[in-house]
Amino acid sequence: MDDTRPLFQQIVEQIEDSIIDGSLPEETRAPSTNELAAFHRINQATAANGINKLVADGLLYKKRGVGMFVTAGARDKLVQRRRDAFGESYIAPLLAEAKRLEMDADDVKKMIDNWRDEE
Amino acid sequence: MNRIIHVARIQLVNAKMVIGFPLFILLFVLAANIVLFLAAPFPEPEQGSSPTGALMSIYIATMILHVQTMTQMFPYALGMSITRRDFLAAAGLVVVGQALLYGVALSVLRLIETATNGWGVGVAMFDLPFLEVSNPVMQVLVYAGPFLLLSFAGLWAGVVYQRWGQLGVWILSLSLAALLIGAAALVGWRNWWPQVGSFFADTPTPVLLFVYPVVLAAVFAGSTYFTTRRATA
Amino acid sequence: MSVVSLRGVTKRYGDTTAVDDVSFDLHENRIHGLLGRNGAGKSTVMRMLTGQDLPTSGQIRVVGENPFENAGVLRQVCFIKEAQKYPDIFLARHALKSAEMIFPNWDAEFAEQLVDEFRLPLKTRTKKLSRGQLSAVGVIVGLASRAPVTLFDEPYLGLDAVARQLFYDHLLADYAEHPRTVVLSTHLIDEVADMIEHVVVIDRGRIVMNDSADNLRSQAVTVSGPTKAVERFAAGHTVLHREDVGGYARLLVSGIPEGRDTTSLQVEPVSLQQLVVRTAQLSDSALAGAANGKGELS
Repeated sequence: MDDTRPLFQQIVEQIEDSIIDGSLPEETRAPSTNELAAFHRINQATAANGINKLVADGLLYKKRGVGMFVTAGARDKLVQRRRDAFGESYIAPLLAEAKRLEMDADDVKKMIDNWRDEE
Repeated sequence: MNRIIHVARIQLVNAKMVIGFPLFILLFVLAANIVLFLAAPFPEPEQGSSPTGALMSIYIATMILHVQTMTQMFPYALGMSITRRDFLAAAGLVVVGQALLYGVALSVLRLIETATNGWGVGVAMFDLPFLEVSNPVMQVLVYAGPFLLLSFAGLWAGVVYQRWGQLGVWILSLSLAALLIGAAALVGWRNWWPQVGSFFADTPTPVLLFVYPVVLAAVFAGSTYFTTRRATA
Repeated sequence: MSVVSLRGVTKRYGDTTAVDDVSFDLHENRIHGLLGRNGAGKSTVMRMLTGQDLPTSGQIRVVGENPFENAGVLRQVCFIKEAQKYPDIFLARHALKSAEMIFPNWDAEFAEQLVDEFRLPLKTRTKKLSRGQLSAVGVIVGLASRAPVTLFDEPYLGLDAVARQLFYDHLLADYAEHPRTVVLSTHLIDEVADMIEHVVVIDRGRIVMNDSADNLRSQAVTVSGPTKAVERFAAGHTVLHREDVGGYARLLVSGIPEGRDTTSLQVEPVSLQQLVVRTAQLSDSALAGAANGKGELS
């Protein structure tokens, strides 16, 4: 947990990462607020905030008497959302940094191709 | 030697308390006696009457002070990187200095007492018949002797407590008591009381109140040294 | 240069072995951490280093000599313990005054400044000082003594967070200007982790770790993230400790995996606290395992 962003936001992002990565598959049980609070050594209310946001976003749903589960299709939804934000999150800063280093968009494109070839 | 002086200064760092407290007790008892005697002036002085007990007050107070030298000052000194040897040497220095100082103080008070005819009311606290000696130096030493004895005894009792705890002190006290009772029993059985009585009456005061106490004090000092060698804070 | 050395030091109290065959060195002009749980033997070791206790066996050398009853050595050593008791008749200022008389390098001006900053009431009897104020006395003596070998045995536990920070700040600043060999013994590892240059960990009377802080930190990492990504990252390395919560995991990994994908992972240097705690737990479970392996152990 870092000090730069609200804790509940970090909880949200961590669970989203696990869903995208496949570590937390759809229709499996998501961690409860107690488990999250113990693991991250934070307040249960903060953990609950994170869970609630995920429910509000439709990524988790509640099965009465059992717990929180990952919604079917959550992964695709998340990937799409992140793709939409990809430009702002990654490309814009990429180009800004490139500019600082006196590279233009073409230089960057060439670099991307080189890296991809080496993969 | 320099180091030892430093340690002695530490023991006296609150000199007001260390030196002053027993003196304060003494003066308090003196004042109490004067007030008492004001109510009934010039009674017959008896042997072993309250004035004698009054004088004991400063001796007992000093002994208790030096028990605390070992139970409080010693652990502190160990924690402050002072060696046991240095501490004991300094304690010895303080004890001797204090004994002589009090000896002088008591002699002076005695002079005042005789000069004022018992503080104006006939109190005989310092001017006790068996304490009288011919020369002033001897007078000081005669007062000082028991201080030396009791102070070193106090130091030893303190370090016994430090090393062996309450149990050690109990065992020590019981042993001492047993020894005394045993001796008293022996004396009683052999009917040696008259000899004991004349021992106290006939031995010249300087020997009784200075030489013997100093010898016993040295014994206590030695015991203290050996007990302290392995004592921990 | 080794300014303190212990070789095969053992201390037994009756049936209990408080310190068991301990050997280590303290280097000149470095800040050492003597870490371990309560009752591990830290205080016993420090008491023997300062001549207050004698080892049952083994050899101790401080600035080249046996410290026991050795005034020449001891005046170079300042030992500040947690619950230092002062004589009843002492006022706070007497404690400082006596320190001034003992330690040749005492800096009175520095002491005065510290008294101000820690808000120590000089005229109060030591008996009447609060726990924090008592700790402050100890800390002030330890700092102002400028003793070549200064040992702090958890003296700062009574201090509040502000005062503790004052202590750490002053220690570092003064240590920079007047280098000396410092030992901090504590179980509050996180707070001092950044100051410590050399780490000695004691558990149940035995040395379980003895290395420079840099070396230790380079020996493990903490990585957290989605379980699959984390496991990929840690592949091939020993996992010292693992925590899981639904699809997310935090691993303490031995060695530092290089050139691996770290997207969506949080990789942090291992905290000394974690390293010490987990190592102690490992030795606990190893002991338990050994016991089980022997079959019934009643």
